[in-house]
Amino acid sequence: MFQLDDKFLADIGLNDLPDDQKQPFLQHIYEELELRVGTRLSDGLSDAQLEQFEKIIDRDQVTIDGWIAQYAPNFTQDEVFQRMQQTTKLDPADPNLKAEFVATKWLEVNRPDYRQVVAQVLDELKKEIIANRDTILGGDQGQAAA
Amino acid sequence: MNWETGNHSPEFSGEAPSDIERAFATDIFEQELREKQKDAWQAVDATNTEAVANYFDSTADMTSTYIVNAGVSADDEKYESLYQTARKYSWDTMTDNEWHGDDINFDEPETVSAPGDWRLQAEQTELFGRQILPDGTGYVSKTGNQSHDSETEPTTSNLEQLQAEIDTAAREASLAYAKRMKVGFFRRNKRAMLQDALDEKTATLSALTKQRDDLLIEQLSGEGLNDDEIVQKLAEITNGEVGKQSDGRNDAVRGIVPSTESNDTTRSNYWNRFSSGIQEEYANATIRRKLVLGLGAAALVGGATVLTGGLGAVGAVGLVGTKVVRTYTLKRAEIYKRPEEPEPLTYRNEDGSIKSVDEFRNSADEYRKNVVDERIEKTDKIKRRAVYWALGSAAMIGVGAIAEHWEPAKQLVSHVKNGIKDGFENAWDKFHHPDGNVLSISPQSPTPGGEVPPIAPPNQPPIVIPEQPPMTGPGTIDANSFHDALTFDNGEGWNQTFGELGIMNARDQAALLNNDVLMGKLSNMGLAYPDARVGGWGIRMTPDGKMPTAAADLIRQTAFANHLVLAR
Repeated sequence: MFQLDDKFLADIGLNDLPDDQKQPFLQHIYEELELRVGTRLSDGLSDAQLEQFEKIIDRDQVTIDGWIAQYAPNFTQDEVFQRMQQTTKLDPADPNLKAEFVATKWLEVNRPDYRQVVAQVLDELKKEIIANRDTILGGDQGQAAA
Repeated sequence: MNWETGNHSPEFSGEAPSDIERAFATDIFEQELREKQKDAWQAVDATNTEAVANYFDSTADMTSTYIVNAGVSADDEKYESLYQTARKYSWDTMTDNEWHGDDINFDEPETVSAPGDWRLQAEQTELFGRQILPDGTGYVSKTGNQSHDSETEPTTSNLEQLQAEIDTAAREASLAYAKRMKVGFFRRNKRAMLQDALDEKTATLSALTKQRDDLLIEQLSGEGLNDDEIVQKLAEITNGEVGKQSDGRNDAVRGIVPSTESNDTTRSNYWNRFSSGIQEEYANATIRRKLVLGLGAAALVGGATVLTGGLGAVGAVGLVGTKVVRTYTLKRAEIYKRPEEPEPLTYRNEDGSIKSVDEFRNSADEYRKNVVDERIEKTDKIKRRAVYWALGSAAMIGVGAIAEHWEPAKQLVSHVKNGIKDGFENAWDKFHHPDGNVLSISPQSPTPGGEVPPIAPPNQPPIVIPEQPPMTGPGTIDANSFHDALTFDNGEGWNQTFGELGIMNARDQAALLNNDVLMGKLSNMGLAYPDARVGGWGIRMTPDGKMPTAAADLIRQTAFANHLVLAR
């Protein structure tokens, strides 16, 4: 498990970042990771697969119900679903909750290597940040001085 | 492929459809019948056979009542065909995907059915002998194959008639554009079908515009203008028209049915129409758009303003807690952001000389098409990235890096905006986009053998950004101190009301007026309504002339949440 916290910033050499910039920076890291991981994952998916995923996250009930019937007929018993339901406090029948669950399960079925992809992209991103560390801190200091 | 059928006599253009015709206009049919049938289903226990049977009985009754209320009694000879058609397109017999044409058969992906709303529009010809505009405000006029006698002397009435047809064609093109804009990026068959439909509408609009310009050139020439002067006039008209049509397309994307106001052909002087009507409208639209754009990059970066507006437009509710779906919806909402105004078409060549009439006409046609094509292309990129983002979001959840505390996460959006104001944007961009290419993603170098951080299984505690302190709001207003704001004056607009509530800055007022969620809530309170004449929202006067304090609080709290300036 990786943590987007002060230790993470220290690991990438940005523990000197002003406190008021740490959280927004971490939030950007999170979003950047999402985009880069998603882009990388898409490379190994067919158009038909991406179309199906797009329909799921667009809450197309026919696609969602069809997928559940095939891959997770007992989804309400699934540990991930139950945890999502507890976290979100949504009704188990809520279509958004079903879409959320199916989206994550869909990834396991269609890109079972996704954890390795996340790890690789995170590693690349960390190296990229480290390589630009001085620019980031310098740019910030320059701005603060201005 | 043209899904529309039937020919439509131009003499219908100025008439208002009857109640029963309006009832079968696709937008009204969807809102007034399908949506109600859909709502009724929410209360049904799907595991209870009897309840389901009762539901179908109730939708049949609902359909019958719908037709009777539109003025056709059950013993009318037309009733049966109307009823059967309405049942065919009812929500319980046709899914939303079939209605909107989102359904693709994975076993036969090449088989694409026409969307239900298009088919209903086509069937209107059989039912009523003509097709009705989706919003029920008029009829679809014959535009693409109507001939104009080139021997006829160009007259003001000819031009006005042609202009009316251009306005109708522009509205239809706007609706086709909106459908094309909203279709999922990876729904390739559907996307291609909608692109064909858009191309067809655009071609019709282009052909009519050329015909109009032919007449116009002839008239201007007859009035003694030389070629240079004619070209300058054409440029003036083209730029005004492109701006107006761009507004119409943007409104259509945001679910605002294009206005029929521009079909006003009663003005006696054709030139007045351009010199005062369209130009003034265009100028006002430009100001509005500039105000929206003036909200700045912060809105685009992920701030609440643009996202809220987008959500309002797509009607997305109940997403709290669903990370992947929410990520997709929010990222995709950028398609609702109003595009930057296109550079005006110039009538000069690079060497400063004025183009010939033919050169200008060719460049104008290409210019109009490019404005649409470039926006479509940008939107496709936004939609594709939204899917990628959602894929990544699902993967991040899978490895345990889930941001479960959504309230703090939402506040972080505000925090990011503040951080940007404080100069954070520069720091980030220097890392993130050292080449200044904001939208690019740097190519990644492979890292074989690199250290792989431990990945958390899904059931381990998530790691999230630390929580932020709760935001404080402006509180409930004192009715005595805000007496003016809580009392509507005749002719009062929202800007005045916002000012009386302490939101004095014109840009802030524009931000509120463009916040679809806020205005939607005010509309639900019976206080606001879409006003096509001003291209925005009007105030609906209450019986006692008073605005509820809850509405005033809502406005002020929305202003506060969006970091607008509250002077009181």
